[in-house]
Amino acid sequence: MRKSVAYVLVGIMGMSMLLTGCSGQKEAEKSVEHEKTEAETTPYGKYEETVVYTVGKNTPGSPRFPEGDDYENNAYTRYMLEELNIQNKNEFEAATGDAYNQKVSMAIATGKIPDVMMVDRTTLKQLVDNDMIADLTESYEQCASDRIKEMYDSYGGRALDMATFDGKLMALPSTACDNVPTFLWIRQDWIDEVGMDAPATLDDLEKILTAFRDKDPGNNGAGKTIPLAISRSIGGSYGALFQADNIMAIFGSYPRQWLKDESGNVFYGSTSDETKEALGFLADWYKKKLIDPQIAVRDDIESTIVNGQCGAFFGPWWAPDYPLNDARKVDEKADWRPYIISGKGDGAITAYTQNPASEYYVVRKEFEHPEILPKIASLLCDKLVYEDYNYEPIVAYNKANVDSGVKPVGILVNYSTATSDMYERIQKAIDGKLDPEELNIDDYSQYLKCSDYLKHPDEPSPDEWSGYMSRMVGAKLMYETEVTGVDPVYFGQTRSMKLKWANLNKLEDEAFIKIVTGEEPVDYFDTFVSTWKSTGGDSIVAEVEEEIAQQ
Amino acid sequence: MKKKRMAGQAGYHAMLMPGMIFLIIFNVVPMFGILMAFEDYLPAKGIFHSAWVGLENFKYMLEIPDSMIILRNTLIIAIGKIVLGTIVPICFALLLNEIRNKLMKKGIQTVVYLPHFLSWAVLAAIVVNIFDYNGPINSLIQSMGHDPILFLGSNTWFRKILIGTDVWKEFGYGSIVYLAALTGIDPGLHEAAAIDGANRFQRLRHITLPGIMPIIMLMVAMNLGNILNAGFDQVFNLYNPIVYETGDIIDTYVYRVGLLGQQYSFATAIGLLKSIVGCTLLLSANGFAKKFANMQIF
Amino acid sequence: MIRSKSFQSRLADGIIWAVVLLMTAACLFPMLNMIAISFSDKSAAAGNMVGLIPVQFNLDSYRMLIEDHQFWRSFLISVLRVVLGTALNLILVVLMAYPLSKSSREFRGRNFYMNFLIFMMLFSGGMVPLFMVVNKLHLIDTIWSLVLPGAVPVFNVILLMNFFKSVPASLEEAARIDGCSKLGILFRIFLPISLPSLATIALFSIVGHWNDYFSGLIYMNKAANYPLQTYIQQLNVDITKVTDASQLQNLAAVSNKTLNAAKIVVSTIPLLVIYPFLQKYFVTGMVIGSVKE
Repeated sequence: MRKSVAYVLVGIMGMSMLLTGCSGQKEAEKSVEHEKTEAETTPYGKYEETVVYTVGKNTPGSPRFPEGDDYENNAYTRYMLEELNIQNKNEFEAATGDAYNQKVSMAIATGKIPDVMMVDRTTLKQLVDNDMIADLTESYEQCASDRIKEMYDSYGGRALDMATFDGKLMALPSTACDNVPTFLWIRQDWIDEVGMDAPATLDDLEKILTAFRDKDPGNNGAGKTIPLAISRSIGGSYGALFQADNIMAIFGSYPRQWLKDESGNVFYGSTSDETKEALGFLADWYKKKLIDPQIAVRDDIESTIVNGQCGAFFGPWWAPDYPLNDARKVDEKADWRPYIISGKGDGAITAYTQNPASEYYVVRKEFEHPEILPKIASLLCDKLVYEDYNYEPIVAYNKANVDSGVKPVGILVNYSTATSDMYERIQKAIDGKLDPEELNIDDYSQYLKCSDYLKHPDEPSPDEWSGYMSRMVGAKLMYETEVTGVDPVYFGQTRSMKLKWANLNKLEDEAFIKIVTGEEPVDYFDTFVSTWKSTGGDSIVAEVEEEIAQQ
Repeated sequence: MKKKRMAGQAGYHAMLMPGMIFLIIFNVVPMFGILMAFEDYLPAKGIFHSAWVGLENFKYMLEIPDSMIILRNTLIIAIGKIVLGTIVPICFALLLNEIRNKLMKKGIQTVVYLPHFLSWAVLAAIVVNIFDYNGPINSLIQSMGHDPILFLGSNTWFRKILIGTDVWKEFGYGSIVYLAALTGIDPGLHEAAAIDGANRFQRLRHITLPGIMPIIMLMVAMNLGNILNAGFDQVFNLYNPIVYETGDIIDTYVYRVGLLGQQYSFATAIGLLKSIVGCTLLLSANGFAKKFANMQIF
Repeated sequence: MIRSKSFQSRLADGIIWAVVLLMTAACLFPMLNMIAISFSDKSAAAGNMVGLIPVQFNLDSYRMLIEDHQFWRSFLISVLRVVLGTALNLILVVLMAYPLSKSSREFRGRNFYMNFLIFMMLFSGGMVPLFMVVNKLHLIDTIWSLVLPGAVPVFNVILLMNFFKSVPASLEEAARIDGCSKLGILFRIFLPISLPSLATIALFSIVGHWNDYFSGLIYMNKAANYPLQTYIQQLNVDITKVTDASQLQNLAAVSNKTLNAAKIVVSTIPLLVIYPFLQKYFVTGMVIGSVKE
């Protein structure tokens, strides 16, 4: 008996090798420095033999592939194979969000990550600490096209700084072009119905929302109308749908942002007195039933907009594409219009600027071709957009509405002023100052929608309406609005944040939603701030200050 | 004689062998992962080479205010589910056993077992739909002249909803075990008792209940070992930030903060502590069952 | 069966019926509501207007569902998983439950194995190390990753073991005297009289395999390989998290309540189909008919 137990133990010990990375068999280091080929040192040089690279792919909600295509074989992968002779093999594919994050987390835990993948800032730091990803400094120098470098530089170095550790470029970020100001999107037809003027101040807005609540212009039935929809996170997501940021900025509140006060001290925007005031204001509106009563559990604000329950929300210039396009399909009288709500009604607003690097693409450390990433970025974000925009298979993809998220590597690099530039170009084409044929593919398809809209502005199709309302009305408003930018001073993650940030975030989410829904009085904000500080906030503020000082 | 017995023993070992191999590969080997609880696990270094930090992760657990909240939530939700999730199915089984109309009985059984078959991924959609602010239950409440209630966003209601919907999902299926036990009671006993003039209630007390008592004890004891499992799938699919305070349980916390947050060591430490407590409870429950019901689970 | 017809008894009958029917209705309503939604008009469903009867009855969502290749692919994966997983579960459970049902005098290793099993049930290394093992065995993205890690449902082993314990020793003794081997005893004596218990355990396995979305989420690296429940769970992925304009520009109507309802309805059909078959075993007495002591 005792003997058999011993056998079992030996067996188990043997099998526990299943858990260890094959630490014994490290790849033989390549001592022979081979001469670098042209493909390895230029943006568009083509490899002689097909380079197969593995990818961790975050997938879009509905890719809408044509029959037979998939994430490893589609117009983009074929284009890349043709141009650079590279082929992706997907290590994993998972929906953007928790499902993808979970795959990344699992891959890191096992110590084996794909050759190329997208990660967030926290994970990037983790990968750098673990020495799992390649230094891209040299590859970027050699293999990023001039335009790509120009694009990154349009952020004044802020974008690449975010991906630089100890002077080494460890990732290529997707850039996030300016997406503020966001606007109030509101049902113009409802405003007309209740016989009021377009809003410019918070007071105006309150009167209109009250009228929405009382007069039920959408015939939803008593109490069913949602005058204003706001996300349950309340605010602090840059350029996103359903944030209350426009209102909060009027109070001088910039939630979830790291800022400096006049005397140069770092503070966290969610804990400021201004935020308390702004939350109190929102709580008052909630109490008056001007804000969605189900804000705390509402997962799907879009559906309330599509089915005509909702009268207003805050959102960026592209809101007509999503979700308002669907709203138009259901009800073509739903006349959503953008307005700027400012403190004094003069249209001058402040808004916090965003992290210029929204997501990071990394290359596995041992991968033989780290230059593949800058090459892919150059191919997809420069050559394809500015030279090969007539490449037939991808044009066909766009026409068939295939999601551009099916690209094997979804990196997006663009100028910081991309949206305003786009508006200017399309406007010029419409005015006849620019030959539409010279527009790139995206702009051209939007130009067509806009010019179709202008042919019959009284009865546009939902797509024409979306194209015009976003590019010619939304983007224009964005282009013309005077915005005073408030630059957050920190976007990274400190040591203590690793363990404590999730909890502090939780605390913050809860406090915000509770105060707004009136479950706790406004003064509960002070309790929140002191709990926030004592459970780690104070030490994190100190760490942020320290890290800023080091930069 | 002795030789024959040894041969018998080998037969028994052989029968257990296939299962044991699976258990060793998929249960024992991963247990080396428990080491992570005592390390600052760095993926690049692996489980056997990461820095040893002793009880640091456990100390941290005690430091954060969340620990108490999560433990409290887990216990309240789990105990609520165990108590109601035992009583309701027993009552239902006893009631159903009294129904003689075979066709109806079968129809009812088919219906009440149904929710059990659905996963929480699916049921969450159904529950959210039913408890929606504009949904059927609130329509009912409004028609009785009350204000609608934001069930899934209310810290007073959320745990009740969790317990209630869990009991709703499982009572039918839970009654299967008891119905099976009821059919195992010798009908002759009932007949004899009826002839002796025992009424329904007396028969229930003296024949039926003692007849199913072993299985009741077994189920309760098994459930006690689950006292720290408040139901990941259910909570995960129903909770939202406003009800973290009452709804966040150990497992959801480990997943959210530990796995998605890549705090592997911290997550493992919590999981380990949970297993130890669960183990202690189950062993005591077994002892309890042995002492008072004269039977044991294992 | 003797029926007393006293008033009291009838009142009791009435109450019993009322309670049972009420509980039944509580189970039925949400399901019927879901079915009604799946047959309703999209906007009526989105507006919470559907009760027990479809509003503007139509088959649109089912028509769309038929064309959804991934749904059917996932459906087949789930069916295959249930078949393989349940078969493996049953074989292992039966083989393990029998020796463990012996007393430690008859089978001297019994307590060691038993303690081992309990330990396995209570402790786990956690999700991450198990993933590493499955990964090392190259099971990721294969059906086996859904079947093998849970090959031994310890709880079911204990349930069946407890049932085997209640099988009269005289039966086994008789067979042994007739010269039956251990396996022979197991298959000829124990299995036939424990069919109802086996059916229960099979049901546990089938439901468990069919409903598990989580292991699909972890072990399947490609959405094409998701089993059905993982597929359905992924329908709920919150779209508001996507803030990148170019991705959003191509998003179609997302909240598709009726189509999702249809998917849910269809995903439960296989269980409904096999259910009556399994139910047969619950009703027949478990010990009645075997030798009385």
